[in-house]
Parts: sequence; structure tokens; C-alpha cells
Amino acid sequence: MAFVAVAGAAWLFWPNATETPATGIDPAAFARVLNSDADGFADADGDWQFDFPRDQGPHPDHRGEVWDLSGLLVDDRGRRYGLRLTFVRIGLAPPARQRASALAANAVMLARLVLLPEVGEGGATAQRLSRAAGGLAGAEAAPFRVWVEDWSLAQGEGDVLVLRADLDEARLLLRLTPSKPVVTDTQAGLFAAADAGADSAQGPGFHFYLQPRLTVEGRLTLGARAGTDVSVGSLADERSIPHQPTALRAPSRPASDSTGSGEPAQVSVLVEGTAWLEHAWGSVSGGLAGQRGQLSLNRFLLQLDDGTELMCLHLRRRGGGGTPIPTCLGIARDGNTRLFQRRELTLEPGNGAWSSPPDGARYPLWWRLTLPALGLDVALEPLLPQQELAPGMASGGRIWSGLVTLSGSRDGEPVTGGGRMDLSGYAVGSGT
Amino acid sequence: MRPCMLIFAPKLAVLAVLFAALMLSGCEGGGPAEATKAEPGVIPATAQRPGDAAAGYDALVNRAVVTCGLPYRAYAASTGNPAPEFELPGRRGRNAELPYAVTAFTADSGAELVTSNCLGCHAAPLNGELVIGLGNEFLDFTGDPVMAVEAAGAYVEGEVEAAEWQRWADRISAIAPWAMTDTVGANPAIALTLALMAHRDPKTLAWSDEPLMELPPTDMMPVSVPPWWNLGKKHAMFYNGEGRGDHVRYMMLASTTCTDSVAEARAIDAWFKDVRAYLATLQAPEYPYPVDAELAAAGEELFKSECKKCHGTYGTEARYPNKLVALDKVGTDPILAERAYTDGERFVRWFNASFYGEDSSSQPALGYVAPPLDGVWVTAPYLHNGSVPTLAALLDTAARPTRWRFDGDDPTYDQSVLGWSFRRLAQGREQFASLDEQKWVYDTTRPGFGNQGHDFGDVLNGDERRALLEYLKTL
Repeated sequence: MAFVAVAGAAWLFWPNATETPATGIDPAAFARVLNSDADGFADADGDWQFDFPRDQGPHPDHRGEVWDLSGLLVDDRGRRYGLRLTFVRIGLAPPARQRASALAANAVMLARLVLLPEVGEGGATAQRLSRAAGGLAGAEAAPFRVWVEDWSLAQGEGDVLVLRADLDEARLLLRLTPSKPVVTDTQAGLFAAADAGADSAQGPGFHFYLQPRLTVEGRLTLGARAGTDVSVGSLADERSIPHQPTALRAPSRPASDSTGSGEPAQVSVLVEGTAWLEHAWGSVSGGLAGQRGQLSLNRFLLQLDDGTELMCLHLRRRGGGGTPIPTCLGIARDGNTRLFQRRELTLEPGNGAWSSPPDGARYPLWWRLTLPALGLDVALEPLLPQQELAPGMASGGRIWSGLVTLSGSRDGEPVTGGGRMDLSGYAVGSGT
Repeated sequence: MRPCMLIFAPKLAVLAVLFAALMLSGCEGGGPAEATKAEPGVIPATAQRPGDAAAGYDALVNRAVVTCGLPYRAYAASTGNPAPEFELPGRRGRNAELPYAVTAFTADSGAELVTSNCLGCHAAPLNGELVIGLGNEFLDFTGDPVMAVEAAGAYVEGEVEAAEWQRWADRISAIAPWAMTDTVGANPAIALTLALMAHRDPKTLAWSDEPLMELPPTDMMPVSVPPWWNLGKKHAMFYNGEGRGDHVRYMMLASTTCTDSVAEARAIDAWFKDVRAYLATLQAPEYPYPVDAELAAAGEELFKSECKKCHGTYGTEARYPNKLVALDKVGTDPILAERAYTDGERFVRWFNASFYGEDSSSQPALGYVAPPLDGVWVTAPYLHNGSVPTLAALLDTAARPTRWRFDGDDPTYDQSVLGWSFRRLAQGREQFASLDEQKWVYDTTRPGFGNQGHDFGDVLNGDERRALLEYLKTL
């Protein structure tokens, strides 16, 4: 019997969730609009036998799928950027009912890209939606590729991933090299309670793995019409991506637009950093929701510069009161995982809060995490406060989902890092 | 015998939380309520209120003594609504669909709730059947109940059910530190009941979120769940015999979780006297394996010379002396009794001043009751703290393991030593990295976990001990 045990021992997401994901895109809402029918799609409860690279690619038997990449980049002049690229696949018909024509759309792909400089101009946020037909958008397994128009994440040499994205304001060409093995839901004990065992009738509704650390290097071009400027078009060629880390340390020369057209100058810079990739498939309304029943969920994905990562959840009552429940999964340098539960850590907001301009909704953006077993005591702060998702982006309620930096100490030594924070349930009317 | 321990499901102890017994202790004067301490010796009889045993059984399996709980819909969604594993005759309506350890009821708000019941601790599977009254010695209370009850909120919808869930979750959270142990089989009933008392006005039974008196210590003493079938013989409840007077009010102390007025408590009392009447009819299960009658007869003679004085006689001339044996005589781990006697006066005062103490009084003593031995073969592990895994070891101190664990979570019965099969361990908890392994280690070097005392069997030689064990199978 698994009475609430999913939570008790090892709960990192809503088990068997029914609400909408906090990924910044709402597959459930799109699925409804598309009149997509869940009938015939596979059930994502139960164990999954992970097999890579197969599982990097799409799972068309399942109705919904998300590839969600987050990262913190720094350019060769020390300017920091937050990066977020999310691809969502919504199946329109299960494989048994799919049409064979190349022009027939059996899925719809959505993508959202955020580039967020810590200071100054040059940020970009954009979304794209396309039918997975005629090569416009799609996801493939061998070699791995997921794309919507000219935004893509694809396998390069070996296990390197290549990210390309052209925007009006920016162009990105990045190499992402895994530096750790992936962590799967079963490995991490994310859903299986210690006691749930075979009697458990409730799965999380989706399968999930995390690539906890990707080393990023590449080129970022900023400026008007960056995505269409011929002078930087060659960057789209993978061969131009710097392969040698030393190249990143060499100051790059800004590639100025000298056409004299009056357009703002374009700047092309080398960037490096770290990122991580989450990949989940199953129910489109699966367990990434920010709110469910009487509870709200905050998520933290943190990378420490000492090579460890933490994936934390913070549950609290929607109506206030009660005892908030923090849980963290620690991923050590060697890839081993360890779950830390409520009484082994503290994860609490500080006094400061940021008021969202539309209605003054107050988000606690400054947090403190202590984890005595790891000798860890760190403070989290937003890269920028303005990372609330616009109303309508997440139908389950407005959320704050953005990049954070962290600083503090580990075993008495200074430690820094970055990551992502998703905060749910703080905006008025965000309840369900 | 102790009041209902209520938990959700045997192996699931995450939720295991709801209730139980209490350990009341001596009042050293100054309080408004009378309190006395008892001396070792014979415990006098007190007339118990009559009740309808059949009605009591029906109430036991269908009514809720814990009057708050998780809304049924949330229960069903979060558990997958498992079918009952064992047949429990007489369960009606929704209860017929539920595992034996939980009970459904409709609250005044109209919400259907599911809550823990007495059987969670006081019933256990034996050879494929559920035995009512057999204490479950494999319950795992090491999980954090706060995580479980708060997380259950993810499945709760609607204002009425949300309010019910919140009330239940608040109560459980308030006593969570006392509802946990660190060792499988160790039962937290005593401490969590004391913690509940600390949150209630004894006169009105009104709940206070802030404790109204000092809470009990959180370093919990392990307690084994005693069998119900001895109830009819015993004059006092609890290992230290402190439960004097009317027994019903002790048995229904689980109601202190959510019963917030004297009127509500009185309504429960009205049917709980029937439950007591039913419990008094319970008989111990018979030893299901072969018995050497000749050897047992020899053992009976030894029993009469060595054991009868404290544990009584059995068979056609059954007599139970109701003796409270002084700590220095029995020699078993003294901490449970000492703590109740020395440090618990506020709880005894609370009990005696409350509705629950109207016809009962708490009289802790520096000793332990020598229990009736009916069905003793099946009540392993032994002593009040469950520190001795087998009857053979109970009769031979040299055979007692210092550190041990059950042989898996569903060990077989070992007929050669009379107990659940176990493994001796060379080291304690520290040898294991994970809590999931540590929790199985019973370490008798820890305070309250001691396996010393009751060394009366050490005078026996091997043949005599075998004969005595054979006789004990027949009780």
C-alpha cells in the first residue's frame, strides 16, 4: 500500500498530477485547443527501462513531452546571461492512428526561448508553434534532434549537443558537453516511495530524466535582426563553433555592423557556462504543475561550482499555515545521488520579496538553503527579478520561473553557482 | 493492554500516526487533580462497566475513535484505493472496501473521512489471517508523518474537504515529533498521547495550537504492543500498571487527537464500553505446530515452581495474580517506569483532572506488571520494550543478542526458539549508511532499549529450558 507514501519518502514531483506544467508553456492548454484526444496514448505510470540515446529522442506513444534546457552563461567580458530553451511536443494522434504522409501533422511542437542578460540590453524572449510536419518542426531519436523552425537542439559529435537559435535580437550557437551521467526518475527514487513497492497504484504520470550538468561553450550574437544578418550567418555552421576551451578565453572582437544603415551595431561574443537539461514524457498535464489540490510547489535546480547539483522541491499550503516541506536530491561530483528530506535541510525564503508590476503579487525571490550533511549554507538570488511568466503562459496560474545565482559556503569554503527557480502560487488568482 | 494505536497500514507507517496509549505518571501534589503513585505488589481489582460485546465488535470495525481524518476522495486518489488484504467480518458500507487499519466515517461537515483505527497496531497477520488483538511488532514509525499529511493536501479539493484535511494535518503535525521512532517495531503510542494532552485543556478538552504545558521528551522509549486478549485478566493497564480504575477511558485516549469537547468524548465513551466488553472476550491463538505433550508436562511442573508466583496458573485451575514487580526485582530496563514515575506528573495531573480520569486514576509505580502468558508464543519480541527476540532467549540471558534485526520484513516463525527469525549483528546502527537499513537495527545498548533482567531462567539447564518452552507453547 502506498498511502501518500509517494510523498513521504521521495517525492520530487506531484504524483499523478492533473494540473498544468510550470515549464513556461502549457501543453495541456494547447492540447485542449487542438482538440487532441488522449485516447490511444500510452500510460506513463510504472517503471520505465531507460535506454540512451533512444530516450533522448521523442516518445510518440506518449502524448506529451518536454525538453527543457536551462543555463547560466558568461561572455568573455564577464557579462552573465540566463538561458532557457524549452521544446514541447503534443501528440495529436497515437502512432496507431497516425497518417503516413510527410505533410500530415501527428504532433504539434512548441518552443520558448529566453535569453536574459544580467545587466543591460540584449535580452530576448520568444515563442514558436509549429506543426510537426514537412520538416518545419519535430523530434527525432537517431541522431537526436528536436527543433521548431530554426531553433534546434541536436546531437553533434559524440555526446555533444548543439543548440542553435536565431531570434530578431540575438543568435545563439552553443556546444553542450555532458560532464555527468544522467539521473533518471528511478535512479533518483524520485517517485517511488520506500514503501510504495509493487502495491503502488499511482505513478507520477510521466517519466523523467535529468542531465544535471552540461558544459557550454559557443557564440552569442546580439543586435538588431541578428538572426537574419548575413555577416553572422556563418555561425550557424557547426564548424565555426569554438572547440578549444582556450578559444573562449581569448577576447573576441565585436563584429560590428558597418553597413551604415543606421541599425544598431551587432556584437558577437564567445560565451561559456553550464546548463542542464530536463526531459519528461507522459501525460501532458503531468507532474510539473505548480499547484495541486491545496498545495503549491516551488522547484529549485541548482548547480554548485564545486561540481555538485541539487534539485529541490518546496511544498506549502496554498492557503497558508501548516509546515512547508522541503526535499532535495543531491547529485555528487561522481554522479551518485542522495535524497535529503525535511528534517535534514532548511529551504526558506528570506525577508525580501519582489512585487510583480501588474498587480503587486509578491514573490519571495531570495532564499536560503542549508544542508548540514553536505556542510552547505547558500543564499539564492534572482539573476534579475523580472522573470515572472506573463499571464496566460501557464494556465495553472502565474508563476515566476527564472535563473538564479547562489553564493555561500560549503564546509567553510566559499561556494558559488547558479540555477533555476520556479515559484508557484504567489500571484492573486493563480490558484486553481 | 493499551488504548488504540491507529495507523494507516502496517508497512506504511508514513502515516502511521494516530494514537494510542498513554503513560501517566505520578503527581507530586500541588495540582488541582488527585494523583497517587502505586507501590509494587498485587494490583487490586476494579469493577469494569458492562457492555455489549457484539455491539463492541461492530463499533471496533466500523466506528471512528479518531474523529478527524483525510477526506475519502483524497485517500482514494493518493493510495489507489487498495482492496482489503484480509477479511474483516462485519465491516459495513465503505469500511468493507478499506484495509483493516483504516475506518471511514462522515464528519459533521458532511465530508467523508478516512482515519486510522485501533487495529492498525492491535491486529496483525498470522499465517495468512488477521488476528485481532495480536500486537503488530513490525510497524514502521520511522517515516516523517508531516511529509505524509501535508503532501496528502495535493489530493484535496473543495472548501469543506480542505478544512477537514487541514484540521487533521494540523493535529498530526503538532504531535509529529512524538509520533516517530527510529527503529522498526518500536511503537510511539505513549509519547504521542502525552503530546496530545499537552495541547488540550483537561477540563474542556479544547485544543490549543500552542502547548499548554511542557511537552514530553522526544527521545522516545521503544514499546512493544501488548496483546488484547489478556485484557480480561488484568486489573490495571500499561506495562507499569498505572492505568487503574475504569479501563474504557484509557482505551479511548486515541480520541484526544481530534475530539475537542467533553460532550464529544462522552458520546464515544458510550460505545467504547462495548468495545472493551468485546476485547475482554478475546482468546489467544493456539500454537499451530506440533507440541510434545510429555515434554510440556515436565515443563508445566517447572513452570509451577519457577514462574507461577508472578505469572499465575493456566488450564483448568487458571489464576492470575496481577502482580506489579519492583524494578530491582525484575531487573528489566527501568527507564520507561522511572520516567513515568519521576518526570511525568503533569500528565497524570492532566489525566486525573480530565473527563478521561473521571472514574480512572493514573498510578505509576517503579515496577512492571508480570503479564498473563496466554498466547505468549506469538507475542515476540519480549519484554516491555521488545528487546528480546525469542522466548528461548528470554529464559537464557546468555542467548540474548546485544544487537539484532528481524530476518527481513516478513520473517518466518522459528519453532526451535519461539519467536520471529532474526539475525545477530556485530555492530549497531552506525554500520549502515542509510536510514532504511539503520531502522531495522535493535540495539540493546541504547537507553530504554536494554535487554537485561528477567534472568529467572538462567537457573535452568538445557533440558529444563526445553521442557519449559514446550509448556509455554500450550498457553
